[in-house]
Amino acid sequence: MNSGNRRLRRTAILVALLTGVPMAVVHAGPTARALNVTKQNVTSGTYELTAVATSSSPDTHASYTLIVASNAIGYYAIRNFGTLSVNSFSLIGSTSTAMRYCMNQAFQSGSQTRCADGSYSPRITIGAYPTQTTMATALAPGGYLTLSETSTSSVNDVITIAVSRAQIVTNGTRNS
Amino acid sequence: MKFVKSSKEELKGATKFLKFFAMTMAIIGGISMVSSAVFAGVSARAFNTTAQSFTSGTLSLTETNQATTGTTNGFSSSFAVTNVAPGDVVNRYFTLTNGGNLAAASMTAQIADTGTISNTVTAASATGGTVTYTYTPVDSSDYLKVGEIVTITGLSTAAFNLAAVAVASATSTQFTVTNAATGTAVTGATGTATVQDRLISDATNGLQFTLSNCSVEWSNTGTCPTATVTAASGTGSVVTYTAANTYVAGDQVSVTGLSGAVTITAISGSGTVVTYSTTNTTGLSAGQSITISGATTAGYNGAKTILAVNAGVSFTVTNATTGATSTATGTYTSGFNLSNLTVATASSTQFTVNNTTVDRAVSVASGTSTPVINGVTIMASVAGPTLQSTAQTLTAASLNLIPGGVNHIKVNMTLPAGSEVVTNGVWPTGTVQGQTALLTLSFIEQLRTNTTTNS
Repeated sequence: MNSGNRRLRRTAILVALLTGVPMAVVHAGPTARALNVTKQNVTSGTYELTAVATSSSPDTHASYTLIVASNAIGYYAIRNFGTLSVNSFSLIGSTSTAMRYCMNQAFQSGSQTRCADGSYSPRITIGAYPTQTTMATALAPGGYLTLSETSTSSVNDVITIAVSRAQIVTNGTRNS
Repeated sequence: MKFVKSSKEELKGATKFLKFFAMTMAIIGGISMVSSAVFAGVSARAFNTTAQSFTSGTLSLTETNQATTGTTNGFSSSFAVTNVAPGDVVNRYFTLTNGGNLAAASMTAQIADTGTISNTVTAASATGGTVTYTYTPVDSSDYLKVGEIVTITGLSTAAFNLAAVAVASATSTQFTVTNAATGTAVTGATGTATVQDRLISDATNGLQFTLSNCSVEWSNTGTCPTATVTAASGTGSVVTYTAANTYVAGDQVSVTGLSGAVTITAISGSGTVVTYSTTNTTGLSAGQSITISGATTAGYNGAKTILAVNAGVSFTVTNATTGATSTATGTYTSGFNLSNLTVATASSTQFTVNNTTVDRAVSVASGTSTPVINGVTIMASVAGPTLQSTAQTLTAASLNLIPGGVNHIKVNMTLPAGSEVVTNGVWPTGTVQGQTALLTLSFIEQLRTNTTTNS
């Protein structure tokens, strides 16, 4: 039995050698690839308008509550903390209030109607929630408005700012 | 005796093996070989004395940043694109060359983004097959999203360091993943939850890509440029076109709209033939259309078909008109209107092609040189949410490249105007989706078998 197996093995080897049984080789699918190895860095911008106590206040990432005593003047600022410019934005107050504002500057000391450079401060009326009052005022990154609010009675006015994507100034097409 | 008997047995065994081997060989012979019979030494053979040559082909695709026209062509680490806003467009330019001898067909392109966002994980705990992580997102207004693939590292309980798991739920302070991991709850940690950058991860909101090709280099205004040809002339095997252009050698263009002008010095009609005298008949041939203008006899003017050309003397047309002789001008379609030309040399004011066309020089022309492939869109992002994909594969409609072919590719990256901006409705802030994308571009051609060649 063993010698028979040996013979069979020998025969099998001989058969394999003589007939040249091909090896089953699996090939990977060849691929031609052209690759640009230099990576392109693309970073999105941010827009972030926040109401803060003064133009130099840090970003609170929150709405701002302006507390005004009766017949007093309250001041606050809206600053663009983002990296993108906006061409307008909307203000929402918890109460309807008349305000004045100065662009990128403070009010003249002791005056609500004059800005620091002597120009008159425009007057606007902010509607109460849910009314959104659109401010057609472009704000570049770092830009701000200083606002004043006079109330005939003590009030806590919660000021919220809304910006839609359509109000962002795009960079247009960049070819280089 | 015993030894002899044994030898006989061995001999018998060997004989059996030889028989078996012979039988096996006969079977093999029957299967794969001709008969093992011995033939006489005469054989007849017919063979083809001309050898057939077989050569394998090569496919060599090379992608380079477009060389000359733009200022920051291709992807460049030196020119990062920052502050991309919804609605912004960024174009980059590449040159794709097939340096092999096989045609590349139906290529795909792949845009890969290796940018990541790393959020700080401060705590983790597990219960009931859910692992809950407390984290501080990079941007609290743009925190993790359900379905994002996140990898958590750096936690002291190793079981909570999970790789490539999907976010099951998320707020700006916590996220969960569905996982059977258990272990000691972690607090006060400084682990990291890393997700793939989102700038190209969401096909609805992220960067969208459109690839277009052009047979000449793209201009730095993003157009596949044409040129106005004001003159053309041929010398030997070179045709020179005068045109303000931005071409480079290897660009492929076609030229149209050029007219040759023939100065006619006299005209005479006789019977049904009108003869137009001219000392220069270069470019004219029988059967060619020519438009005559300026003759005092109206019938000599208009569109004519040349009957015959008397070299250096005149050409005739079939026309029964007779009248006074006069000068005139003939115009015909110049032979320098050529298609599928490869630019041999180029400067800002002219370009040449290797072509043996013989025709008279064209001047005061208003021809147009246009790219053979003129800004055709070949690939574009496919819509559909693919949150956190690491690469977008774009399939070409028909980006084929013949051996030696050069394609100029414009990669148009657009952040759609409606791209997601996160607002939480309480405080007035928004962030354009995503952070930073680190993009690579590759073109891929899967080598294919050629069709059967019968001739």
